[in-house]
Order: sequence, then structure tokens, then C-alpha cells
Amino acid sequence: MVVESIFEAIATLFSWPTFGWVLIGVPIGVIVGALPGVGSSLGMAIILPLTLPLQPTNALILLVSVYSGSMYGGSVSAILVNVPGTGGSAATTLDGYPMSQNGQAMQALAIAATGSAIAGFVSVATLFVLSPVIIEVVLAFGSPEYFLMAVLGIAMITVVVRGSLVKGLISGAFGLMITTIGIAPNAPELRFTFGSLSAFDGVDFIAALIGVFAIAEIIKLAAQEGGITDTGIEMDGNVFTGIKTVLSNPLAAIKYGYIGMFIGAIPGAGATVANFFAYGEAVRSSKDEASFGGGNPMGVLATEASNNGTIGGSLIPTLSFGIPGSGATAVLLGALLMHGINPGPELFADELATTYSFLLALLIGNVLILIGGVFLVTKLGIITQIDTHLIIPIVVVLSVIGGYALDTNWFDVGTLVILGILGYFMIQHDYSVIALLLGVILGEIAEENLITSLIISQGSFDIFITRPISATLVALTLFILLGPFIVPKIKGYIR
Amino acid sequence: MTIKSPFERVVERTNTEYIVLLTMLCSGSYMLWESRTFQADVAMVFPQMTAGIVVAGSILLLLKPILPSRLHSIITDGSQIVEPSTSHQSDEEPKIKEDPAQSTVERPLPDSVFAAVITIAYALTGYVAGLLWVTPLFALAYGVWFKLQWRSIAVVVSLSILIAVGFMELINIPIDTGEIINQGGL
Repeated sequence: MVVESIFEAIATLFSWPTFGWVLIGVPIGVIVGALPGVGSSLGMAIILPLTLPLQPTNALILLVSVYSGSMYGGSVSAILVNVPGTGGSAATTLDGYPMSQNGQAMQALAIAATGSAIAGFVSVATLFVLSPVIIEVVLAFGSPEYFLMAVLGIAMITVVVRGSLVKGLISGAFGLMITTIGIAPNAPELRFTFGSLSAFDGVDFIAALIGVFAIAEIIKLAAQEGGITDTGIEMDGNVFTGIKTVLSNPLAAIKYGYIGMFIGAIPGAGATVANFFAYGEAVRSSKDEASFGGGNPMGVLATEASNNGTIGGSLIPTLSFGIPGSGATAVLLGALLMHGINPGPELFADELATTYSFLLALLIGNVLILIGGVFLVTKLGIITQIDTHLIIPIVVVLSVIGGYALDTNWFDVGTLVILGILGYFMIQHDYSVIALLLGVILGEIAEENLITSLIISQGSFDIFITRPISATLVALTLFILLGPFIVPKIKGYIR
Repeated sequence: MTIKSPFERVVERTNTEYIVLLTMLCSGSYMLWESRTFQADVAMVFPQMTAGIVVAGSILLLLKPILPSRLHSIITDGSQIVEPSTSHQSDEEPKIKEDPAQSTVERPLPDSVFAAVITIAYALTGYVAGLLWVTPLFALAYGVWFKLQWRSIAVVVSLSILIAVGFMELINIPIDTGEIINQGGL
């Protein structure tokens, strides 16, 4: 079945117009990734409604190509103007920008492109190899386990992202709570609709995604002064020296790719954490620590290889259990559900060819990043000179009309505007918007699985602790939530 | 007295975190109360569970200043299991200048407030008269407020019209009609 699905996926990917979406998606990704403040999540969120007329496979391939391209795109502004396009390129500024100042901008961009391509390729190829194992794990899960995975996902995000545990928990719970608006999934009961027909279908998670990623971000972006740079950027250095640097350190690229993949698989950790973690590891394992921060090419290689490595990692919980590892994978999960594909067993059974086709698209996308990043490197500086005030009205128009297009329902437009503004204030006060979105995305799935579990157990909550996998998930959730408070006390007591 | 000064005073006196928490508390309390009236038991379990967490959490955060210090630290402290290394952070400040309480173009409203207000206005007028007609007006108003060059405004307005028409033609959504006026559309 696996081999057949792989061949089917290859045939699908290289058919027209499917392959065209890869060719379109990667450059769009590079552009949105290079625009500081825009990034992968916002870029993917505003593209999401545009994928409505597309076939599910094509829509997913377009979005994963944008995701892949944006990871590399984030390095462009980080290297050229010291402003990371995405959080996942924050640590790239540390050596990338000094390289640019030292007249090695093109070399740094070539390292970023080659390192990103190799690490992205390796992490997705590893995901391919791991997929039969993932299928076995996923098939062992039932309703209680799926409900607990949703709870575990939110718990993990609350402890991984910065800020207080309570803030994270209520963000996630608020997201879950607002999904109860509309018709109840397991009973013919109307909930919290105020008699409005437009609220019967409840909160659309795509509208929530657009609101939080697009509207909240543009409100934040509006306060930033004009363009990133008004002056021309010096594109000095040699592209081939950059490529040679990476090719002479292939194991380093693979190592940082795997660091990214591992961290990316932790929900909420994402490319930003991987980026700094890999940079720290590059400094630690180097014999020339002092050169880091002054333009060490290994600093760029480590950070850029790690952030593209997170793509493969973050897809593991997203595809297996519907728990997105990052903002971008939350949008991807939204796209899956919007096109009628449920994460979990379905993706590894009936839809296995679809799954493989977008994993293959990621592999091909990495080759395009390499080609584009190396040969179009001299043109990339232009992107960073675009005035943000030219982008904002376009994003708002795409978001509002896109939100309305979801179901021609003004309730969705209201949802995206209200959650956009609420999301802006939540970001300002360190509330996790990823936890909020995870709650909105998983709400219906979590409720359905909770109620199904309770029906199976005739109303007893024991079902969540009497099954081995469920009990493990409960223990893991409790450890994640209480561990940071209890472990130091136990350590202190032992001492 | 300018429009800005009373606005700034309101902003200074308002802790926007309380707005977030009160929104959560009020909506959670309503859902907790309303769910008691549901006929089917299976319809009330999940809303009560989630609203209960929201209400309890928001009350704890609202009462944070008067809580005992041990409880206070549990509520406010972070509990990261994975923390990015900060020892290698760049000393150089990012080049983007951001101040949510200021206008970068010397207008009476801060930029972020204007962006929020014009987005709400765009959605509302779109509901009233049809998104197709208000889209270029929105783009024009945004460009004029932020003092963009006329050439840039023309580009933004043209692009916005292109997007609106594109959505209408390709996805076939009725954005030429309003819900209050212009109900007939094109």
C-alpha cells in the first residue's frame, strides 16, 4: 500500500497543474518570508481562502510550498538588513548580518539557501521513512486518546511558549469554548446563537486563523515605521564560496536539520526555538567560539538548516494527531480540515497518496529553494525595501473578502475581525495565540471524541485512565503542567 | 487641546489586559450559565468544562495583585520546558521602529488604533453596502491617512479592486450586494 501510494503521489505531483502550484508556492513563500512582519503564518492564512476552488491535493501542495519557501525567505531580511522576516530566522541575524556588513551578503544568502535545502530535504525524507511507524501508532488510537491528545497539545503549547501557565491554559480553553457556539456535534441542540441563523454553523476555524494571523499582525505591523530600509543594499560576496562552505560541512547541515526536526515535533516550540538552540549548539561545538557574532558562516548554516528542519518535525504531530507544531502548521491543519481531510488515520489510510504527494512537494520545494536562492540571490534585496504600508491594505482586503468567501457568511467576517483585535491584545500581553487557535481548530474534534468516549464508558471518566495509552497521555499532561513547579521542589528536598 | 491628548489619557488609564480578561470572564460566565438550560446532557459537558477553566483562570489573573505571593508566582511565572538561548542575542536593536501608542505620520490616532478602526469600518460598510464598492475606498483612505505617494495609492487601490473582482468572478461570491443598502447588486 505504501509503495503504491508513493507512485500515485509521484504521478500526481508531476502532473499539470499540480506541479505548477509548487512553482508558484515556493517563490510566494520566499517573498512573504522575506517581508518582516508578514512571515509564513500570515502569508499562508491569507492564501487559504484562495485555495477554496482548488482540488485538496493542489491546495495542500500550494500551502506546503509557501511554508517551505517562507522558511528560507526569512533569512533574506535577517542577513541583508538585520531584521528577521520570521521568528525562525531571528538567530540568523547574529552572524548573517555581520557577514553582510563584511561584504559577504551573497555568500551568506547562498549558505542559507543551500543549508535550508539540504536540511529541509533530509528532514522530509526522514519523515517519509518514519511514516510506516507513524501509521501503526496512529491506528492504535481511539476516541479517548484523540481527546487526550488535544488536551496534551494545548498543555504542551502553554509550557513551551513564553508567559504564564494560566495565561496559556485559558487561551487554549477560550479557543475550545468558542467552538461550542452553534449546533452541538452529538445532539440537536443550538448553543449560544442568540437565535441568529448565521451563527448556527459556529465559529469557522479558518476565519479564526485569518483573524489571529492576519488582522492581529497587520494591526501590529501598522505601528512600524514605513519600509525596512530606504537605502540600496550592497550585494557583495561570492555565491559559490557559500555553496562550497555548506558542501564541505554536510554533516553539520544534517545535524542542525535534525535538531530542527526534533524541536519542530514539539507542539508550540517551532522554528524560533530551533533557530536559537542550533545556534547555541554551533557555538558550543566550535573550536573558534569567539568568531561567532562577527560573521561566522557556521552560525548562518546552523540557524538556517535548523529552521527548515522544523518543517518535517512539525508535520509529525500535525498529520498524525491534528496537533500543529507551529503557526504555519496550524494553517496547514486548517487547510486539511477545510478540504474535508481529517488528520490521523484517514491521512495514513485512504488519503495516504495525498499525504505523500505534499511530502514530495516539500522535497521538490527544497530543490527549488536551492536553485532560486543561488541564482536569483542578487534580486532578493528588493523584497526588503517594500513599504509595509503598501502591504497592509492588501492583506486586510484579502482577509476580509477571503473570510466572507469561506461560506458567504458575515458571522465569519465578524469572527475574524473580533478575534483579530482580541488576538492583537493577547499578543501584547503574552497570551498564547497559538494555544487559542489550537483550541479553535481542535474544539469540535475534542468534543466529539470526549462525548463518544463518555458514551462508550456510560458516562464514566475512568475510560481516560484505564486504557494504557490514555493513562500514559494523562500522566504526560500532568507532568507537563505540574512538572515545572514540582520537579525543582523535589530536587531541593533531595539535596 | 488636541484630539490626541484625551485619547492618550484614556490609553494611559486603561490596562488593555483587563479588557482581554473581562472579555474572557464575561463570555465564559455567560456560557457556563446558559449551558445549564440545554436539554441534552451531552451538549452541556464540553461547554461547561471549557468555560469553567476560562472563568477560573481569568478570575485568578484578575485577582493577581491581591493574591498571596506563592500563589501569585505560580500564576504569573513562566514554565518553559524548552527555552531559546538568550545568551547570544544581538546587542543591536532591530531596525523596525514600533510604538503602538504613537502615530508615525503625525495623525491624531496611533497607527495601530487607526488600522483596527479602519478594518472594523471596512467590514461594517462592506456588510451595509457590499465589499466590492467599499474596497477601493478603504484602500484610498488607508493610503491618504498614512500619507503614501499618490502613485503608491493608485497601485494599492488598483490591486484591491483586482482582488475584489477576482474573488467575485473566480469564487462567485456576491460581494457586489449589501445587506442593508444596494441589495440588488450589479
